[in-house]
Amino acid sequence: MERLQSIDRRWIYLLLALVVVIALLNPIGLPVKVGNTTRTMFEAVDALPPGSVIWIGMDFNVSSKAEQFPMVSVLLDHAFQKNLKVVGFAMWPNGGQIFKQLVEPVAKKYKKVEGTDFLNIGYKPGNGVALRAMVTDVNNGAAGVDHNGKPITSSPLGQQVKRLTAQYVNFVVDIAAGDPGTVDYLNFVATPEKIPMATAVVNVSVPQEMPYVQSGQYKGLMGGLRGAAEYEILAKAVGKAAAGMDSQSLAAVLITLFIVVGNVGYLATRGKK
Amino acid sequence: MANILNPANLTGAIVTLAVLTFLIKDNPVFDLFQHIFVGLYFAYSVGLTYHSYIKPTIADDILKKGFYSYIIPIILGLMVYFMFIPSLSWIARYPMSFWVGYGVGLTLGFQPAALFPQITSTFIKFWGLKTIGRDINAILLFVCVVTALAYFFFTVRKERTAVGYTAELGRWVIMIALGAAFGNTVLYRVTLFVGRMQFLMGDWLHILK
Repeated sequence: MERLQSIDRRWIYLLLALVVVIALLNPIGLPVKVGNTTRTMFEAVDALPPGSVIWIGMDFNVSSKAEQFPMVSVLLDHAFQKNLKVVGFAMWPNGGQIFKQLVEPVAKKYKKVEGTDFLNIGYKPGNGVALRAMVTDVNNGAAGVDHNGKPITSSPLGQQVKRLTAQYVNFVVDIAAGDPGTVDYLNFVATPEKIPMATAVVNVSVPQEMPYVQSGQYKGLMGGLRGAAEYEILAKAVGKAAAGMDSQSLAAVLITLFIVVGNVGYLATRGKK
Repeated sequence: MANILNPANLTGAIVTLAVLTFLIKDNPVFDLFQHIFVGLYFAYSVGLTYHSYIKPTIADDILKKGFYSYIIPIILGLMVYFMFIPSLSWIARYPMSFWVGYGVGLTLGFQPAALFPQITSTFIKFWGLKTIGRDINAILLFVCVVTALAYFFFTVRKERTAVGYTAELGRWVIMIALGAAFGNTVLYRVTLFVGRMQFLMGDWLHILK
């Protein structure tokens, strides 16, 4: 029994790696039940009339690529399916570059044009202060240039979205992996400007964001890889999130087994110690 | 084969494998790539901030449009660097005081409106919900919030008192909440690994279906 408590962690890593790799190579298609929070978010975006402007906060970097790249991709896919106009803005340095990387293939698929159908404002420093500057004037708040260094007012969408207020922006989705992120949008944009807002966060952040969903302050939440997979199913745009769910689920089962084994070992040897 | 030797993919694969070597044990390869990553990220952030904000503000707003008042925050910002000169470090306190004051003012001005729905949904949305499940959820939420708050009443005597028993329940609530948070953290790490494996086997080696 004492051995159960002293398993070399490298064996655990190796087993975990094997489970993930085998599940990726031979997907078994475990069912993914769509949760309420993702469905609420999907329905809120789906209900927006064509031509509405959806503002996407790109507040993460490549370290959460596995979870958040699929979130952005599927959200853009859904937005372009519905002929919504998309504005991307980042409070994290890599956000603008990531938005550019992810929007281009989806825009190509739906024949959407930069500047007319979507605008990449890119990264601007200042966190909540930057958001308030956007509320007053998007062009000034962005120092007049988008991610590509072009004047914001030179594009039709840049001229259309003058302020980050309910008059110009119909829905906000913040895709966040920490701070600055969702709370800045909630405090400085969604609540004072009365713009409906949803969020898409990494798994770690789900528990702290749930109260805002339950209070109705967020119109839904996409949580982690599972949330992205659920949204992919709803938007009929199955991609990398759904493909990774088998691996994630089986890895979760394995980790649970290890926790049980570890606890059995602990309980069995507790008396002896 | 061409895709395997594609410089971007190859670099990504080498870096990924180098970082994963940490799972065996801490080693110089991991340390090297960790430093490269931090350095690249910092350099990229500085460059990006300069080109997307500092340069357009100085070149367009101040020099072309004549918004000379923008020089004031620039001077305030530069004053922060006096903290590196011990004899003049007091100068850095002035911009810091503006910074903190602005931050506190902004937060105090906007946060209450976002906070009130949290309070009302905990205490007022307590009955009249449509299903038994939601009613149970509402009661659980109420009980958990109150007991967890009771745990932090340090000014009240807790031995064998009502507050003490409530706080004990609150301690369990906090432990369960932390357990759930830990579970999510573990799952997040697994997801990152799944993502890296999708890159190695899909984008790089092309052996995924």
